[in-house]
Amino acid sequence: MILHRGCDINLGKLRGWIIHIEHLSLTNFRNYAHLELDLPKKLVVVQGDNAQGKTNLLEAIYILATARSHRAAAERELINWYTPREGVPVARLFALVERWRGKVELEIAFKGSPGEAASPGLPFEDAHFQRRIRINGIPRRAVDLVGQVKVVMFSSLDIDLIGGSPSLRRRYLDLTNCQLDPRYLRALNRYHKVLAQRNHLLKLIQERRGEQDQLDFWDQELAQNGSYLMVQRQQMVDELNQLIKPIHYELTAGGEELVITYRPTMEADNLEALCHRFGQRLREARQREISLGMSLLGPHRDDLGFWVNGIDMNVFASRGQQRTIALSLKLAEANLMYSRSGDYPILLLDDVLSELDRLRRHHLLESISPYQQVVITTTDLDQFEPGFLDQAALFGVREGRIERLQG
Amino acid sequence: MDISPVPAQPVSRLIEELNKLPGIGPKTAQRLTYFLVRLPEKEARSLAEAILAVKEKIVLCSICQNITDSDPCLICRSEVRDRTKICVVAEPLDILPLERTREYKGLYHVLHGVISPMEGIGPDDLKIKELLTRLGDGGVEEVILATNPTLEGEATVMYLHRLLAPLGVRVTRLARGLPYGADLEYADEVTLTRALQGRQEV
Repeated sequence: MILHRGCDINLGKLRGWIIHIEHLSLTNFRNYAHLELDLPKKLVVVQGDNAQGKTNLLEAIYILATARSHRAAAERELINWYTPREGVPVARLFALVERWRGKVELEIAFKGSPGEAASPGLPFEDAHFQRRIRINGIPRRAVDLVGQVKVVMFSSLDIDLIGGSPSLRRRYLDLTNCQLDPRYLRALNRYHKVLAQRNHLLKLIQERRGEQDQLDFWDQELAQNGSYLMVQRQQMVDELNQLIKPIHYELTAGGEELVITYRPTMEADNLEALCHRFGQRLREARQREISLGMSLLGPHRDDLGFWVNGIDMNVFASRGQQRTIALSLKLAEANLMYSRSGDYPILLLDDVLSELDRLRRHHLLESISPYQQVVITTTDLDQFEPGFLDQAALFGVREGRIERLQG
Repeated sequence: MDISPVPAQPVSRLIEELNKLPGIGPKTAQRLTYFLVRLPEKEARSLAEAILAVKEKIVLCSICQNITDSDPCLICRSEVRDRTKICVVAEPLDILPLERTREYKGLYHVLHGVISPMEGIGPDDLKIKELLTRLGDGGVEEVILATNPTLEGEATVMYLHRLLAPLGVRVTRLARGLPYGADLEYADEVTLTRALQGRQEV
């Protein structure tokens, strides 16, 4: 690949900076043995039957932006294990991205270890699994990649954010904050390392193989990094609340007032005070944590609440309500990415239109029109309003191959 | 009958042994083995003897715990070194780059590891008692903590600091910040923050 150093600065006549993926190249990624795809700006509609590779295409774009999959399940599945051409299975994802500050090449390769292909039933943790990231051909870390391109994924899995387990909501908080703030990802990585070490130490102390005063260092690190995460999460939820209220109001034709609440294990007015409070709470909880052998306080125990007209939607929402809340949340998230950075995120809509009624479908398609690149997958082109498809570039996907359907 | 191309038993045994070494994967182990098979017997013997000599002749210095073939080691025996300073490192290998600076003239102490609860390594598994004994003998004015700036290295620094501070000895640590010849533009925020915190008068 040639290194593009375009400096065609397009200081947008539009409201935001133009960012879009020009070219996508996938090798051995899920059901794509090999794909080279030029993507135009604005609207891209990909039509295909079930299990042809629609979600995999959007997932590839999502991974190139976040270094993670939007599906919580094992990343190991990403490799197309049944391609025996090479001895070692490697999945490679590549995107050429055009931005106002020039073009950038993003690349991620996932490499399994030899012999893995024979036992595809192994869980992720058991597999030796390497992720290699390059930006403009130069090896980089995930912290350098995340945020180069911002994306928002709309998927049928989103409704689990409302009805599902708290861990899914924490994952959502993390993935979104990582895209908004590079320091968040650093703090998160460090927090998880500290947490793992601290939990081991708590168990050692419980078994009388460690001293209590060794906890002081890990307590301090846990409080410092954990407080940063909680403050950023709180700020994100505050900003989301501003944005989501009018969106949800309109989506429900004025019937519902949606409020998101952040439920941290502790609160304080600012980062310093929170860090102090965290340390204090850890000292109070020390004996209980030792007797249980695990860390009981911190952002790894947080949750999000969704309230409609004062009713807790994590418990009492109908499927339809959950779906509408998820849609409002994603639209607000896209708005947030734009308002924070001035960059329009790329929107990925994975077959979500079929699940919406006509009003919500109309509202969604209206809302996405300012965005610079929107990739929509669908089983059925009839779901679009007349005239909508005239503005879109149409593609068809079948058994891991994608073809342009019209001019 | 099994006719799969399995190497002769001595060959596969050597491959296995080499594979255990750090940084040597199965492919490299094979390549090294077939290289050794072709090696003249004299050279092979010399290599084998070198490995055995390391095991037989190398001991830990009874003072600084560095690996050495004469106890006490050359640095601990030296007449010209500054005996008022001890630089504490995690591994024997860490001494080499410090020596290359020709800046440091004091003594060393090797911990043989850093605190890491996940690997079950606590303070008792490190050569800390030996360090305390040295300080108890008197004459040491400064202890320089030179572990890697990782989470585990920091945990070790904090533990040692708390342990040594009441002894009335000056405890310092290596500065953290920008590497020489680095570009501000490419420095990450954590490093830059540390560099700002540790700034000095010009």
